[in-house]
Amino acid sequence: MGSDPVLRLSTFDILSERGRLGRDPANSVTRLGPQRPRSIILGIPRPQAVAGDHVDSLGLNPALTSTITFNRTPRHRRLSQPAKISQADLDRFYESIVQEVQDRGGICAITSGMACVKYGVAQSTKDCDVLCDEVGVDLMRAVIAKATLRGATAAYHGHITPPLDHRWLAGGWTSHFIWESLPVVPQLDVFSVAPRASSNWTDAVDGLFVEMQIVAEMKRTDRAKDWPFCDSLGVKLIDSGELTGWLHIFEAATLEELASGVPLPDDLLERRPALRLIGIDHFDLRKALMVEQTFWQELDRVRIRIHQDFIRKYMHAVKHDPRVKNSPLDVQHQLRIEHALEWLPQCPILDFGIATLIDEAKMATQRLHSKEWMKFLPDATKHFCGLKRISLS
Amino acid sequence: MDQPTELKQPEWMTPELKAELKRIEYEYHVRAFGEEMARVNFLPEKERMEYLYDMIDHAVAKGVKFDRPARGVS
Repeated sequence: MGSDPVLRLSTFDILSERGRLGRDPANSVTRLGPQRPRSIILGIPRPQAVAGDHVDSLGLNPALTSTITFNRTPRHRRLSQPAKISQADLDRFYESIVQEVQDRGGICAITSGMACVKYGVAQSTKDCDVLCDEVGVDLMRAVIAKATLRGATAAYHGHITPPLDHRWLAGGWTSHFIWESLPVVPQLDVFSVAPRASSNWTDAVDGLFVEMQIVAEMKRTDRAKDWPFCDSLGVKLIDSGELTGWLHIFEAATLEELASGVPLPDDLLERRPALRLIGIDHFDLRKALMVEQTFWQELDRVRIRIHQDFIRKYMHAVKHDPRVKNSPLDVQHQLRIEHALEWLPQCPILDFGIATLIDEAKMATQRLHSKEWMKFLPDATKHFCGLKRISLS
Repeated sequence: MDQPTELKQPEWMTPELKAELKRIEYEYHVRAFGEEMARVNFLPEKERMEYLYDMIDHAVAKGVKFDRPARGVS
């Protein structure tokens, strides 16, 4: 039986399934042809129907074969699929990069989706967003350049990605990296300014992650899907004894329930006028929260638009530079700096003006809601913490 | 890791309020994410991560794409 080709394949398949051989079991199936059921590949005796049993088109009794799976992967995919990378592998990979930068003395922390998962608000995210301070950015570039995953090396993601250089990251830009030629492409986004943060994120690093307060502020995006994470993190902050959690909850029912037992200090009412409506009028509170949410979404849309207005020319320059294609990361980096110096303003938000940006967002909000509700909007000028211009020399 | 957090609890955080906050939080998770994810979010960290990893790996195996286009700003 040891020389039975079916059994030998079976052993290979099982080991592959467990990841010991580092190959996709689907590849080995092709040796026996694409139409063979898994029961044969695994050496399991094919169940036979007996008289009176219902049989399917393959002549198998469904009652007996209910636990047997068939390989239905198209042949072309089975031949080309490299080894799988699990999400657990990816998370460890991202964490090892951040850990190494921290070990070398840089301040950096994971934020956004991965941080939400860490804090108990599950989100199915495969990429990793990392905040890096000035020292951390240079270290991060060195660590990324050396970080390999299954032999794949890092590359800038697309022509649009600004250089990983603090002079631009301090102005609000984000650098995107991918590890190409893998079945699941890891994506790492690095930035120095936490969008909408009202305090310095470098003072709020807890291990590999940035604290909940910063994550919650960053989640006030133009995407509807991000908002439940704000509320969840807000309640978690209060649960951990931090009254600033009041600033992150946008659901009237939750706010009203909390108000029955959790103190609401005056300084928070100053920072967020909509909270004054708790316990006064439920529908007014809901309306004020709706207006607030619209405002933050519009603020994010204007912020992104300001950046996108400038990035097109930069992207065009990078795309049409023949030196960029297939060049190693350090060469790409120098070329991107060259083009950024010509086309990318360091801090388009400061050039545009924070006050102008806020006014534009307020005008858009007022078009969607009436003017009387504008008095419940918070002062957003504090939410551009960390933005600055750095000398290009 | 839990001990320092316990020590930092303010006076207003009574055991009754703590239990009430858990109820409020759980009910919000049910409304926002549904019963299944609410239960996942309240699992211990190890189990929660395992569940999520399985969920994402299964989605990838079924051909779900998670790629996000770069846009130069977060």
